[in-house]
Amino acid sequence: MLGRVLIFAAFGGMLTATFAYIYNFFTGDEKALKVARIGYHVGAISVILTAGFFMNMLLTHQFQYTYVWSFSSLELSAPLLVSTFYAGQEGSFMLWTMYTAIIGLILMVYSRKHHYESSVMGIYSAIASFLVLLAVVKNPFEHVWQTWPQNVKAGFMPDDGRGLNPLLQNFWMVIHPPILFLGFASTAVPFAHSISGLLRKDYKKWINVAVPWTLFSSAVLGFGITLGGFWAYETLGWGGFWGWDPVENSSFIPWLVAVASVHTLLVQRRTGGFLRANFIMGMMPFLLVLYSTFLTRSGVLGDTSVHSFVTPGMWVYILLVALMAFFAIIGFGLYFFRVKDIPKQKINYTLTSREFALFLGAASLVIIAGFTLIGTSAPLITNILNGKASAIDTSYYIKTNLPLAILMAAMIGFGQLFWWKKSNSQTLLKTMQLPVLAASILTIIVIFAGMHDFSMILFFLASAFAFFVNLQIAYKIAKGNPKFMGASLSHIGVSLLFIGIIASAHYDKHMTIPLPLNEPANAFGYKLEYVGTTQIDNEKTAYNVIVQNGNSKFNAPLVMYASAYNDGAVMRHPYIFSLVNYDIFSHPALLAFIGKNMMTRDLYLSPQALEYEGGNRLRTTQYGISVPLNLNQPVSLGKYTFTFKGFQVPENQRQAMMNGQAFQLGSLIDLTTADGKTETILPTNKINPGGQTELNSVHTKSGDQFTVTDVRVDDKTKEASITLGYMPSAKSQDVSLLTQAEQPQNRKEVLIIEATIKPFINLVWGGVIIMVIGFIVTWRRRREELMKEAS
Amino acid sequence: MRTKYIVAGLVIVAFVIFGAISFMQNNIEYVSAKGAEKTNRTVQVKGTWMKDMQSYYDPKTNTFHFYMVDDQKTVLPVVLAGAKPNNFEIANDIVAKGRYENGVFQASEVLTKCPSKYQSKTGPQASSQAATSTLN
Repeated sequence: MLGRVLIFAAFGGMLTATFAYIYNFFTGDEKALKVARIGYHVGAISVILTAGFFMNMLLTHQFQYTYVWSFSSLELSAPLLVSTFYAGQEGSFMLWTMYTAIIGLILMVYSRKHHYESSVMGIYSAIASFLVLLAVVKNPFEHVWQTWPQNVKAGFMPDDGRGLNPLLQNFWMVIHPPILFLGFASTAVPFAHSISGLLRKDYKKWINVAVPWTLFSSAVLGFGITLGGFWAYETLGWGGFWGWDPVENSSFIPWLVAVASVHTLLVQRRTGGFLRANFIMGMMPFLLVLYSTFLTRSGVLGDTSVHSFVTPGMWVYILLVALMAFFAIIGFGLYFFRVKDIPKQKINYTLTSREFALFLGAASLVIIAGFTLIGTSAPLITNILNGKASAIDTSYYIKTNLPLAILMAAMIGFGQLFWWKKSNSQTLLKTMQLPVLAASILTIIVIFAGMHDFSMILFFLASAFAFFVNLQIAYKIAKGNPKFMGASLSHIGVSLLFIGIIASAHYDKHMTIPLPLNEPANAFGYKLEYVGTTQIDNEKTAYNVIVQNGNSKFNAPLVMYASAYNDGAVMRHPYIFSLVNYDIFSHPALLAFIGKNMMTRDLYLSPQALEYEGGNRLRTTQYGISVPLNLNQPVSLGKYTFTFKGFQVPENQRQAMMNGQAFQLGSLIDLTTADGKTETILPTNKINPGGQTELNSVHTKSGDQFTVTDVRVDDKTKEASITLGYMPSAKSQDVSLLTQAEQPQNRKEVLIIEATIKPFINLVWGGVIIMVIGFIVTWRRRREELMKEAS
Repeated sequence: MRTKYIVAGLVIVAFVIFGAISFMQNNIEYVSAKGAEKTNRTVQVKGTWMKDMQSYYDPKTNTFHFYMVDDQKTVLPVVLAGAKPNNFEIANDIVAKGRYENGVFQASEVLTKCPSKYQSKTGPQASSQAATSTLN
């Protein structure tokens, strides 16, 4: 009850702030400003209290609440229990709302100082109101008896919750979503500044105030996305760090545009260009966050992805559409209303100016975002065009984005070499010498090392060029004023990331290896041996594979289990020998092993299946062992060799068959025993006009029973095949086949694993970290500059 | 000035065409099993797993072999590149993505559609009963 009251208080406060701020903006009424500030504080504090109340009910295991019962349980550790806060839809929206509320408190002080308060906070409070409205519509404090009125009596208190999805039970769940949602929430600030600039007809200076926030969003979102990629690589066993999945894309797209806007805003600061475009660029990250949220949270993607998208109900759907439409209409409407009024600065940039390189770089980022957006929206687009939702193959993203990535890499290099307005060609050639030479040598080396794909060579050359140019510049700046290193650091990071992507995603090596128990096999210079299992808890099993290289031996516990939470789905967790391996703390010797072997490549071991020697080919039904038989192809099983000789329709049944009535279809089968004796059987099935079949079993003299359980004729080849059910008589030795089919334990276990060598994957992680540090350095510098201007 | 706009316009049109072609080429259509046999494009077929028919994993080729049947009751032999997919036993529906080659559907991916993946339909009572029954 208290939770509901708080939500309504929050909504009231935010709505009051919205209208009072807007009133103050248009009239300058001081009283309204006071009301607005009080309103926002009431709203923000209520949101924070709601979140606290919500967290408390999770920590104290109040399972009478649907959310608590659905996502938590008594057995969860404290950090995981905290993470259940955002495990479900209501909670993740609440986390977003809470960040928005807190950022708003800082923004209020910030915008007051820079004299933008009423317009910026007016828009911002409107955003906060909408987010709170989501919690009004979808009550996070619903009781179990309200959710399932038929099954649960009022006042019922479950003993324990359903628990957290085991896929989410790891360190990354604790850290990845909070960072990502902070990034999402922060995009609202540049949006509010952009609208405020249009409202105030302040077309130039708004960007100075907005830039630090854009940098903050870019750093946080970038870091959050990377953590997600690392999670996918390290725990989920997706085999890579990026799968172009809608959920991944939905955070990637706003980030790309935010990064592009960092560049276009810079051009405006330096040259006064992009005045008009920057309003759109300032708005887009937030609008794209809304669109992505709509895509992944409204259920429109349906069943076209590996992620499961729960349909949240009509009201949330409508509200998400309204949220998106409302702010898009306000933003674009105001833009088109003002666009004639915005002065156009004429900039004469040449092809060798920094403006032009920045423009090309930003444009490639935006187009990559656009292609990714269209691909992610494919189910929506095809649904409108064809009436049937279908997804797009991930090769689409690579095909469309690769040329742009090459262009971008080249611009990352040239952009730093060119001067504003126009470059001096002599100095340009001089500064280019070293990077071009270094990049060319490195490219020639990798070509000899086996890189033959032309587009990859080009991508590598451009990335290496960008790397050396920025390294050269970073070195110069570091000697002077390191505060200005941000951009070069970020660009070094991106070039390294590109090289890491080329190496790890295009030149990785896969091997599927069957490992029979205690029989070593070789892969990539390592000796692998499956030595048995360890039970981790009552559900999870680790399949221990000993990895040996020289004298060093280490156990890789590959985890694979059927998860009851996910209705028996098989979960597979890889084990990775990499620089980021926590087992070095428990096995100090591992550090040396990794240092020696894993500096430039990861060994990624992923469990695939546990099979039994000879395969699991025997299936049983109530008719015994299923034996699939193709025409005239003998199959041996137990004491018999079975040969299907063809169908036979008895004379008196042919008329019925012609007339389309029910008829008896016989299947002629030879049973040959080891002593060469052949017995022919003719089990019949009654085929009804509707297609249903009645099965008739036949028995041999020895008491074995045979039933044809399925008859098929291939449409194309017209070849007939059947499935024969063989039920051996109780006296027959073949009875053991039945138990063998059902209980394969008496055969040797074979663990199937996939071993992958991921070359230079550390460049991906290292590159991203350097890039994010670069953003933070620039963010701090811009903030400092702004402080100086303001004081 | 005008030429600049024309060049920019042409570049945008080129990108749009390039994007649209890639989109069409890589869009994976839903077709029936019969439809899949008629085309050599990558398509998706929705259907159910035929549990009574032979299915096995071949470690030599790392493929999982099974039969599925679509809405029109056409049987399609499927060879999946990889191990048996998640949720396979309990899936209501499966979607195989791949192309038809040499009499079998060579699937690169098989998605399983489960009745309730992350949301409970029955509520806490049903599940606490289940919990007690496993304890006994």
